[in-house]
Amino acid sequence: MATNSAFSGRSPLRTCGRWSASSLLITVILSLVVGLTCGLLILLAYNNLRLRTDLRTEEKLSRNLNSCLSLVLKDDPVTGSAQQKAIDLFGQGDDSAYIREEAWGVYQVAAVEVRDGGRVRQKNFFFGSLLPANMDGCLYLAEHQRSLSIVGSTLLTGKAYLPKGGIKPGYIDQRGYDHTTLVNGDIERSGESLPTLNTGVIQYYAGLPAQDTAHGAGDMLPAVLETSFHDSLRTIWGRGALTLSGSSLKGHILIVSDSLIDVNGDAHLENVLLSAPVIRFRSGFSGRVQAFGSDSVVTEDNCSFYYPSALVLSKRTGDTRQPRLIVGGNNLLEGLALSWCADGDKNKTYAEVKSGATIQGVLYVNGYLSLRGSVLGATLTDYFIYKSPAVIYENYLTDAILDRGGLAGWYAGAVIFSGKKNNRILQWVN
Amino acid sequence: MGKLIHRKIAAFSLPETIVALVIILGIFGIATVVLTGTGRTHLSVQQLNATNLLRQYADRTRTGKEWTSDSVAAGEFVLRRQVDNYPGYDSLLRIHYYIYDMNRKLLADWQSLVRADE
Repeated sequence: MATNSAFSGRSPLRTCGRWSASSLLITVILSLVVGLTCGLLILLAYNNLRLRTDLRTEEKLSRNLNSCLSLVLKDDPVTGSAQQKAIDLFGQGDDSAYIREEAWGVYQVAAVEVRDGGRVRQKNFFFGSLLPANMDGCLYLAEHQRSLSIVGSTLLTGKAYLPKGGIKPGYIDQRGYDHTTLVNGDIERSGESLPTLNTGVIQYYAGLPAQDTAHGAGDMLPAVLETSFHDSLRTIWGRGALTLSGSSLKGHILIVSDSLIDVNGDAHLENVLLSAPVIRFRSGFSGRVQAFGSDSVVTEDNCSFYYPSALVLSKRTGDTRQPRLIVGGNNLLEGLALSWCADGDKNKTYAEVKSGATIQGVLYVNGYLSLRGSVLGATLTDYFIYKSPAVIYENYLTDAILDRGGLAGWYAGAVIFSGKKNNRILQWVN
Repeated sequence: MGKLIHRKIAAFSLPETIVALVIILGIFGIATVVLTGTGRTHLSVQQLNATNLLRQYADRTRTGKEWTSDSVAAGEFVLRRQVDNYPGYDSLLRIHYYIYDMNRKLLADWQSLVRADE
């Protein structure tokens, strides 16, 4: 009542005092709420816009990266030093890409990088080729006017390219042929020599030890080293025998020795290249590696070489000895085993795959092959050889398994085989 | 006490209300303009649909290995792909994908390279 009497003398505008008095507070609060709501809406719209822009950019980078992969896989193999190119993919000025290609042993490696604004995406990968048409069989035995005799539990599955003399069951040490069918597949005539190779890469790596003239004492071998394929090559030049024991080496690393590289079973090698006249892998080794030797490449028992690996023996021109490639018992090799010499070399090379060893990929021997293990893929050789304690038999194949079906039709391997290139990605690497 | 109440009423009510309303309207107007602008340029539902459709079209082209130039109508959109050889490479194709609305206005486009023999 006292309040009513206090307002009794006001003008009409001021009579509704309670409504007017609180309007300031209400409008301030209301404007704050509306302002905050609007601010949030603007923020939301901005974030949404940024998210969509990011997604579009990512999508474009992903598309451009895939386009670069297609481009690289259509390129001819690189044989010399690394090739680098910066390109505008579609000629519109906003699809820049950087591509670096390099021969990495018998395979190829590429580093691809695409950019859009400040964003970058990159990938490094190994790639190789599908096998050529004349390697569609389990066996290619060159024509040297000798037939092939098979003995014991030997099993040939897939097309076989054989000399004119053909194939027949043999008899060694009171053992005959265990099966009834000689070849589980078609038989075709082979040529006088094995399918040709692009030997530039092989000779380059096999010749590296002779190029080591500038490193007096040789480089220190690090215990742990990892180098990306996006970075430049790290070459370690060794003088004398080099022993890899307990080392962990991964990536874009080339190790060269002028005499011997001895790899212990506890060494961890991942996509590394080795080059030396003599390379030896001790029992129990496991890793991914390409080894290029010129005098001998030997693996002891129970070693594993995972895809894409390669054991390559390349005989020096003019060398009158017979270099040896030995794959030990119970080994697993996924990739390529190659023993190569120049055409016309009389002593050729010698390769041996011991009992229990499995090669998944290609076994290519310019010379004499003693095969007691399994090859899931293609075997190509000039001669087979079987050694008993007293006698050496030529073109006798004993207790070996050759199965072309063990290799998928889309299997891609080394790029050194001649023929139309059809490249495939082998492995993503760092 | 009575003087205080009297002073508050006299100093603020109507002008403050008008000012506050102007501020609110101003903020609301700016927000509306910004939201409409972003929606028109980037958040258009039609454009999103078009981009998704173009993505599906590109996927279908790739999986079906349809390496020929083509144009198809899909609802309110028209999709087109143009296939050329990439200069300097055998069997490497450049595919340019486009999507238009019914008024032939370009809504989205992109390019990619594919191997014809992959």
